[in-house]
Amino acid sequence: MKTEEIIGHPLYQLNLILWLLQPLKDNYPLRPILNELGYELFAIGPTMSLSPELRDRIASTSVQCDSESEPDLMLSKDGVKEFVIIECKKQLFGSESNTAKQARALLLQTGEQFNISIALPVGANPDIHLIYVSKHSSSKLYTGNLCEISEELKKIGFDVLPVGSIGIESKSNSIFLCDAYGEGKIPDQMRKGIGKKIKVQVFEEDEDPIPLFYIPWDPNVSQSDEISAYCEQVFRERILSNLIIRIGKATPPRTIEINYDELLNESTSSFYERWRSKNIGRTLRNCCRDLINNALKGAQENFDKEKLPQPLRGVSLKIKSDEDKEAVIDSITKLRVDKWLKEEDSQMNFPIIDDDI
Amino acid sequence: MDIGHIKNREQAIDSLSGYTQARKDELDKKTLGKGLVKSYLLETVPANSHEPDIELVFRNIGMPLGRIDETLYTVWNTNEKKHFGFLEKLIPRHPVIYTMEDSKDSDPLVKRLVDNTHELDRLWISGWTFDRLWQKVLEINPKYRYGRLAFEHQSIFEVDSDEIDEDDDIEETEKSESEEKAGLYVESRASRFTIVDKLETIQKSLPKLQENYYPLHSISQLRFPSTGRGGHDFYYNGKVTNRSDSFTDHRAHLLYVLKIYKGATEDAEQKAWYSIEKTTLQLQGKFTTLHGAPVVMKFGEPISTQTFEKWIASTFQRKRNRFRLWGNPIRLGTNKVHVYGADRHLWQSIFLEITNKHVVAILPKGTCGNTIHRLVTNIQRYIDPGVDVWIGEQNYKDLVSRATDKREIKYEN
Repeated sequence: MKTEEIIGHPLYQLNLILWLLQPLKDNYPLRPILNELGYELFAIGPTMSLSPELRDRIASTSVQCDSESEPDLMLSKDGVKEFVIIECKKQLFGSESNTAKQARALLLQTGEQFNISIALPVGANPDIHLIYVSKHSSSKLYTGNLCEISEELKKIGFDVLPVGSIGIESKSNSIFLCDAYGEGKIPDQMRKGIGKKIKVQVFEEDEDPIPLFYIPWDPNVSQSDEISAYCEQVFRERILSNLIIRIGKATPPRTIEINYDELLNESTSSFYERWRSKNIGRTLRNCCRDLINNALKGAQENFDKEKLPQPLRGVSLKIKSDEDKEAVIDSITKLRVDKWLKEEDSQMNFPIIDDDI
Repeated sequence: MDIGHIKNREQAIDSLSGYTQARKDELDKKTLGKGLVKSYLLETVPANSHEPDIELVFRNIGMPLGRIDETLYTVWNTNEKKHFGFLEKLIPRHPVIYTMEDSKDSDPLVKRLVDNTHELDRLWISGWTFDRLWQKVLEINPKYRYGRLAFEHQSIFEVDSDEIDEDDDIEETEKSESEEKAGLYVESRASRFTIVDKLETIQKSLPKLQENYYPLHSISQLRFPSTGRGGHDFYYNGKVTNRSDSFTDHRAHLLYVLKIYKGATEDAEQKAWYSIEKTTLQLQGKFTTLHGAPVVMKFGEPISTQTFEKWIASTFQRKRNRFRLWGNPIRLGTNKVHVYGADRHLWQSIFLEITNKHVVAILPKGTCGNTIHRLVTNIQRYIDPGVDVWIGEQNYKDLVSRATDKREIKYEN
């Protein structure tokens, strides 16, 4: 994989930030600079709705703004004294794009609006920043665009959050966080910690700098590049390992229930619950069903299969003996398939919105 | 020895004690005729999971238990049509088997027993855990007493052979007893090394020896001197041989070590368990956040590409591999793979980054802390005896010390 592609991928960026928040001794295998600076993970993908009052005010202007946003991460520091909203982006966006609508909804998360969004006392007064993370670019356009969108809102009388960006750069087999974008504003302590740029990861010449992914896959991220293939593999492995765990734990004779929704939920650290509500549940269930059928193909004589009763979706496998169980485990182990999320399905059903995750 | 007539705890303990005394007398006269009392320390499930019905587990694997009282049972070997020994639920999560069978019979039987159910595992006492237990031995015993330490490191992934003996752990633990019977001791491997000397002598010499010879960090056996004569030999795989003249003293030592091990395991789990959970800490909001810390095992020196390849192939292309892992490695470089797989013995999830410089493990919540102990034990034995292990910012070596201090586990003998 090309390192430039990796560091530009929002799922890499998101997982890198999660690693930078981990407690790690002696900066190994990464330097957890955010943990070092005292930041903690407050939430992954929190839903932040604009209040009726703000929506009313926006409706009276010509500004295009989402009424609800789900930034990738929210960090906190010193309890609830400081918050940093983080959004990972693959590419620049202009003021007319869908991403700009989301940016406005995030920029408006100030004061009372923010406190209501995350259930703080209405009168609380935390420091709040909005930070965009993307691949480093020497162009100032990126932060410039954000500042421009922010200025537009200010001009028509809205309070906005201070906004800045952090770049991810790859140089000489190292990954750096950069803060070299004059116009934007990131929290003072973060600025001091990162300086102009700081090395957070070192990797070998012939290896990809991908850390273990806590969040391996997202339906809204483009599925076409090489790193997406890695994400798809991880998603597949997590489904197969959860499948094999169910079978491995069973003592024959036993009927094992494979509920697709449960399996998908376990394999996505419960994020599937969210995606299911967004009409991609059916597509993922079908892909999961096909993957499981493929995995069990080599041992069809070793179990009796039945559909789970409605409304459950899945199958039950009746395994009679230890030998049958071993044959099923072998069949799953031998499965070799790279592409299991079908492209036509993804194009048809996954609502890909820019690179929003 | 027939134990079929035993009806209560008193008779059981008397029988084990009498047997112990007789064997100790034989040992002293170097005329050992029967097997010593051996204890096998087992592990069931993480503390917050449902503890399996131990009677059902043993029945399913063809070794039904006969209840003596609430925590003590006889163990029947259906295949051999005779009693194998006793099982005692000494503390929650840790049943112990006591047997008088010869190691050559009991070791394979216990191995089969554990291999045949995901609800039981053996204790995996890593070199680092032994290192801390050794400090306890020094703290609680007079320095003129004799101690015994064995070290074992086999660089099996450096050899060009596909045959890896899965029963090696049996071979090793039975060796010392059979050697004793034969009255001789043979060093069969260059990396196997035993010290028997006064505690003060070992205490003085060991740090220097370890500094000069790295495999000596991989302690695989430790003797706790008994309060009377002899001692209790703890092996890395949870087997303990009673070479003392007291079964009561033996049992007290098992309890002491089990409490420490349980505390260390629970601390490791608390620290390491990764979960993405919805939290409702706020008054109204529901947020998803992440808990837990990665386990980082860093090698002193990078291992060679050949060793790395052999290790990955032996582990993930073999059903019965030493590390008891399942998964399909995702290649991310010559010396780097990711595995989103499972502990093949306990059938629980584990995510691993394995490179020629380190292993990083993420343990999803519920995955047993014993998986960490097994990983560390096997890495010390086969990859790097001096591997540096951290769970977040907590040093693995200190888990044992912390477990004893925090829980105020006292040596009561």
